[in-house]
Amino acid sequence: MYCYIYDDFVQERKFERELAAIEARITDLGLQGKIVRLALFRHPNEIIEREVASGVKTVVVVGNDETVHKVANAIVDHHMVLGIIPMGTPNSMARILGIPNGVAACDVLTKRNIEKLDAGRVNDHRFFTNISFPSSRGVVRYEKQYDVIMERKGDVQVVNLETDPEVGLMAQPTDGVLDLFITQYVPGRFRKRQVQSHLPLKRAQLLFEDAVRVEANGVEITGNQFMLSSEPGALQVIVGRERSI
Amino acid sequence: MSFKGKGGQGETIIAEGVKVEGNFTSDGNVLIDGAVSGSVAASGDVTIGERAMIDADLSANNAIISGEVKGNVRIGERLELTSSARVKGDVEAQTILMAPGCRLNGKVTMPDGVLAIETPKHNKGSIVA
Repeated sequence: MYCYIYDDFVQERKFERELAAIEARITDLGLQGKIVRLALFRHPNEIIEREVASGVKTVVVVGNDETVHKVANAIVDHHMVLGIIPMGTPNSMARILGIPNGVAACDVLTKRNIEKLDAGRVNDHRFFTNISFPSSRGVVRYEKQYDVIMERKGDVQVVNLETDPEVGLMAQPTDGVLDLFITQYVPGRFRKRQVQSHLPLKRAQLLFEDAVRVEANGVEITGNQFMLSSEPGALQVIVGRERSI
Repeated sequence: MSFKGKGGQGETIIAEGVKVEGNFTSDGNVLIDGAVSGSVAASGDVTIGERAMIDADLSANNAIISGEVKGNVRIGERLELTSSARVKGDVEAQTILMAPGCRLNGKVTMPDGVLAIETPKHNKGSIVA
């Protein structure tokens, strides 16, 4: 049983024709289901709780990356399958997962090729793509085994699924680990050189000298201690043939 | 793990500007250009860069050392010391390849192994056993 969650913005006039075409294609493919519209004060968690009770097994997001993150976070604990019909921008997560924009995404849904993706956790918040910490000095503590100490300031990124290929930090979201990158500048012969450390982790603590503010897929967190962990195979998602993972 | 980034597949990289303290372990290959104190144990291969400062015992399947290691080195198969390598500690490996200019101060053990010393153009290499 399908439930379609439309983001607020897809109800704008400019998406009217595309949305009508999507709905027609869904009917043709026999994938009809309940349609729920997100609104400013309507949290996805409440919607999902209600749909779980009515026996929904697949939730299809009609929207952009932000919509996917909101809904994905809500469905993980209920072991539901996530489908995506990308509309609007940005839609980098759908692109990585091989899901074409608009109507063509309906054909991906019908094939039901399901992949289990890892999720990352930072303190009590879940993320599916990556989080970037601002330039600071810090320590990565691997349980009580060892510390990785940054001797100078650097940018820290924790990547589960990199959505920007330009960044060059592609990580595999099905390997059960998060990839932590530390980018620093060290003195060179004529000018500073960029160096990058790469630390795979299942669980580690990230400690900074000063409090920093980070954004984890829509949630802002401020502090100087962050508990990082990987949740292997947490999100079941319908993917396309052209996926790059 | 199948990381596809700049550092290559599944490789842990300890770059310059980073120091590891404690008992560092890895399930894959490790590239060290920074500093380590404690111990290093990897199930794959370890590459120690020219700028690396290792004050630790090292164990791995294969290793290439170009930097400074103060500690015992225990390698399952092949150990290569490049011309810039400086090792102070006992060394154990099946095969050891030493380039002219490298420095090794310690006991060398090779169970059923082969020692290859490249012919030096300038007699800079020294083994103190």
